[in-house]
Amino acid sequence: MIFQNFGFNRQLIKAAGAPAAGIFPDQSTKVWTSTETDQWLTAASNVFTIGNGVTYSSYSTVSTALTGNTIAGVLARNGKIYIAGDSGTSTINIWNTNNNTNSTLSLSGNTQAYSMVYNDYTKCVYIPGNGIIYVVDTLTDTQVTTISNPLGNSYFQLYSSGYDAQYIYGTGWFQNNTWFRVDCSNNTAASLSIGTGGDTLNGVMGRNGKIYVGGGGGSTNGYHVLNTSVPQNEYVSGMGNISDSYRAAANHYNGYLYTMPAYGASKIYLMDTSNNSATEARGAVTDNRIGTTILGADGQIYGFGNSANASNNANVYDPVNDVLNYITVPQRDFNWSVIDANGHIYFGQGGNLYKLTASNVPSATLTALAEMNGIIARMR
Amino acid sequence: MQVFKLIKEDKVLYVDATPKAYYAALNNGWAYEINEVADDTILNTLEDIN
Repeated sequence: MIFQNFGFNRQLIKAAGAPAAGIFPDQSTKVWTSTETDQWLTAASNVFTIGNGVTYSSYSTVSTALTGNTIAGVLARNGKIYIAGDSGTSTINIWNTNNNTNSTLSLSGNTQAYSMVYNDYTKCVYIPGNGIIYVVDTLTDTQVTTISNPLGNSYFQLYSSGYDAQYIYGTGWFQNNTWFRVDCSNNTAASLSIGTGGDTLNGVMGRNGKIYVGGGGGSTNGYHVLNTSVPQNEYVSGMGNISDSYRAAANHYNGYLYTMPAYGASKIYLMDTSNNSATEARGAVTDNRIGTTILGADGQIYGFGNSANASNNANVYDPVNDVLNYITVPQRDFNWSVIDANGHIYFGQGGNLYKLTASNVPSATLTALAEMNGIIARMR
Repeated sequence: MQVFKLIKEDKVLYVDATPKAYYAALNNGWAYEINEVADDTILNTLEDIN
């Protein structure tokens, strides 16, 4: 039952005539391998190509009436963005990108959400609370259960699946430097009893199925890596002993993960997941408080600030031509960003939701974005 | 009660160990330790971090 949507979407793409069948990962496959991630990169290189004509100009305000002090958001297959706050409210926002309307859902307790995960295997969104995870079914927009944080501490971070969509991963953030795993098939969670080696911030899955997570204040490593297949903790080399450095990375179709600097760091790095190494892509950028990054429909990396010390700019990095440009945005305290099926990039904080509107999106790119809504849960 | 002991140069602050305080400390260059203190301990505020 849960895979019917996949087949439907794939038929739409075939009907549209682009891209050719077989390019996209088979989304009905619960357990991916490098075959699927390589397919993702191939598909992305066909439709998110720099120079494809897509443009993002100025930002627009989508809403100023979100409930709660929102700080985290994630896009689900249904085209809705689930947006939650960091404390003081049990209400989450559900912004429907299909018709630009907001609805709210009251959970059984307050959220404490600095990270959220959508899982396309269960069609559920996983939202941190104080020591628990709320599970919201996006097919019905109802809370179905809660899961206790197996580490026992109040605050934690959640990350996407690795190759196996049955599981999502988490850490104890700054309170407990340990990895844990949520089994989405039965809503249980268990510690992996593997240390992270330091504080862990935002993260993303690389093409090899490993989870890449930025190091925080108690870490001397730029990136911590969970090799989900062993499992074991690894690090990215080549970034030096940089404390407080990086918290936002995005997959690019060229196969590398790109990360923009935060908290004292100053360079844009590319990470080669084949050997967990980092190479400077661009040095000495002026805006070094980036909280979230996303791959745009134009093939560029968009980074948004997360500090009073950041600038009111979206940092727009072209990794092919090594060009950095800026688009003015109204705030500088962003922790999440998503791209919807029309290529629009959404980001927000507090009561506010904004977007960068994509123009001149080729039909093949639009078709791809519609299917990739489900994929970004693994490879944002 | 769990608090952050924040240290920068010759300054020391004690604040509630929350995510907001965590990111405020990172943004402003404070090193930190996690300490346990009595519940009635008077703490610094987020404004003190900034």
